Amino acid sequence: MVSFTCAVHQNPYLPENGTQVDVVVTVTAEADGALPGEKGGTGTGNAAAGERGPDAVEVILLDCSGSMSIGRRIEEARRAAAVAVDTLRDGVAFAVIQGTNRARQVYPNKGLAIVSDRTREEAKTRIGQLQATSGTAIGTWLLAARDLMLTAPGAIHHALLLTDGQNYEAPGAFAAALAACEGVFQCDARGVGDDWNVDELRRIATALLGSVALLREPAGIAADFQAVIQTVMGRGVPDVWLRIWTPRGARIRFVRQVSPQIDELTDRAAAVSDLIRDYPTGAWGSETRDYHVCVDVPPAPVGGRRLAARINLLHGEDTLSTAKVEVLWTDDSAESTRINEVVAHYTGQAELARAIQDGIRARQAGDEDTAAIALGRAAQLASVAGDEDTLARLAKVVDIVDAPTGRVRRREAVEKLDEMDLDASSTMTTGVKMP
Amino acid sequence: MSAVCPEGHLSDTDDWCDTCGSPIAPDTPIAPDRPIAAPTGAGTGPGVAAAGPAGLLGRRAGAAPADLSPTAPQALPPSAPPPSAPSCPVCAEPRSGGRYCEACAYDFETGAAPAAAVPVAIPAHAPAAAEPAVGWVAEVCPDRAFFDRNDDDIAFPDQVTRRAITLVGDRSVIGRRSSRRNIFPEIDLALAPEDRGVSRVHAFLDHTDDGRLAVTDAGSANGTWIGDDASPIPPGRTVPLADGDSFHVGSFTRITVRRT
Repeated sequence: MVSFTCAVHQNPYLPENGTQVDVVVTVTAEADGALPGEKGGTGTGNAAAGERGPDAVEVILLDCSGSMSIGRRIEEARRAAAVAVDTLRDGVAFAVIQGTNRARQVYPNKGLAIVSDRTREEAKTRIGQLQATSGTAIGTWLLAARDLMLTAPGAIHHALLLTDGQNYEAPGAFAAALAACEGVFQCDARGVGDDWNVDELRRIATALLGSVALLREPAGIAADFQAVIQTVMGRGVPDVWLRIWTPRGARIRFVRQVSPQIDELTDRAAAVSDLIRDYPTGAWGSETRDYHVCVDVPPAPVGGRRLAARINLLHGEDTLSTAKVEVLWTDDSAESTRINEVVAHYTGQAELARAIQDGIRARQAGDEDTAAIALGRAAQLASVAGDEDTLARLAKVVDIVDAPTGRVRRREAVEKLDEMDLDASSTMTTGVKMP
Repeated sequence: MSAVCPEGHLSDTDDWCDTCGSPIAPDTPIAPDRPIAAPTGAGTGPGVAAAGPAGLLGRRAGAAPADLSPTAPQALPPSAPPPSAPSCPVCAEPRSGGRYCEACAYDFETGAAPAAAVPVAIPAHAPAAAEPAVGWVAEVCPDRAFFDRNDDDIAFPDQVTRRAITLVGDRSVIGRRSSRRNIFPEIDLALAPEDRGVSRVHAFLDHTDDGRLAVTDAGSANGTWIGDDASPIPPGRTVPLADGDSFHVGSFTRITVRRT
């Protein structure tokens, strides 16, 4: 089993008439036995696949559009898919889908197969025969995955999507497909080469609670697929929700996952009642995530106290852990103006992600001045957070004159891949540096 | 176990009020088994009414203090020893271990009767047991024609049973009961024949004192469809209903509202 704990980071003091409460909740999940994935490719899975149905479903969505024939893309994609299949745990249900302007199931012929030595080999044989042809309609691939997921209710549902090109679907069709898949499965999206659209894949990753990444070289696909599948196989608890109660008259400004990556959850809420909302967090393994919740509460007189939020972590019908966000009003401004450093750190990380995305959008629109301001601000924020990785990625897109003051200069030759890499990685955050 | 907060709200949580978040003092008296007739702010004296050992008092039907919003996992201690009765005294369904009977929603903890008596949100200012002068009844019935318009993998029930639910208080929730998530809809489509196409909290029926009735979709997965409309109402939009109007939820459920 997995046990969950919550820790609350906040300054509980509000000034007279103050209403805004910022809190970061750190949720830690720890397996107190072996998680399913920890035994590698053998063992526990078979039992789970018995009468209760599979405990996890993995659908691999491979872009086989014409452009995949460039370089060694299709070969590497085939190799990566084979590695992914090898990484699947026995007993998991799986399928491989070839994505073009439609979705064609590669393995099994229909429905889901249960992972075993035999089905792994059969799947790899089919994968080895894949050829690149035709167009790209990512929405139809996602819908095909959804149909398969729905045949195994109660399991952990995950898809891994690889593409190298832009989506040629009516925007409405793509959005509708995405909406239909929301809450049904999680999806990590990967782009290879420099012809895909970061925004498009980020929309998938955001809606389907996954990650997006640029795979610079086709040769890197296999290692990445293996890492993704290993993470998924290590997840033991499907479908965890944050249930947030706030007092009458309160207003939730935002709810946002801030670590390991930024995911806006504000608009994803399901209203349980006037005062209670549920936010999806997907499946969990042994891991730690941070959530920033910002809520306005009705003020109480100085000296008064109030519960600003009660945050329950729910799995199905069980409460896994509870965090209470208590606030008190004070006339001591030394208390009320103090900023909790964890809250400050993640506020900065969210602004950093926004600054990078704004900067890149401005660059693409040819507005170099706006780009320099936004990317300069990004350099400053990354510097404050000690985020060397982001600074290094920024330095390939602008010349950083002085990071702490945010002075940057436009750079003449920027590789498109570097810009895409910066964009795609912008939502990854660093943790709080412990002194 | 309910407590009363300094503002006079009845709260299912006894540390902080589950309505306004005010602290509830450790020595806050246990609430009586009925809503407070008139909250008087600071000087509310529920101690008089709560003369007996409150934990043993049966909650009166229709007066359970279930605001629609209790988060309180501690209100339902999972470790509580199951009462001796192994099956429901009302319908004889074997007890599954939850607080409520799976078949008729009898409340094992309090002995509250099933049907319209399962937790109904009654605002603290409502007269405790007054019969509504102008009332509404919601009639729930599987509807083959509506079912045939959908293509989901839910089966149409073998038996077409009709239920009528008297609407009490000023809001009724249409949904599917989930005892551990503390969702207890007044119109509960988890009852046989269960309609799994209905969201846990699917829609609200608001019935105001002046006799009007309106339905609001709560952001349900499968929508709320007025009459034979070709498209569902947008989530959050409130649609007034008249005597005899009907709407559809889930895979096959038709709800018709009638004045009493």
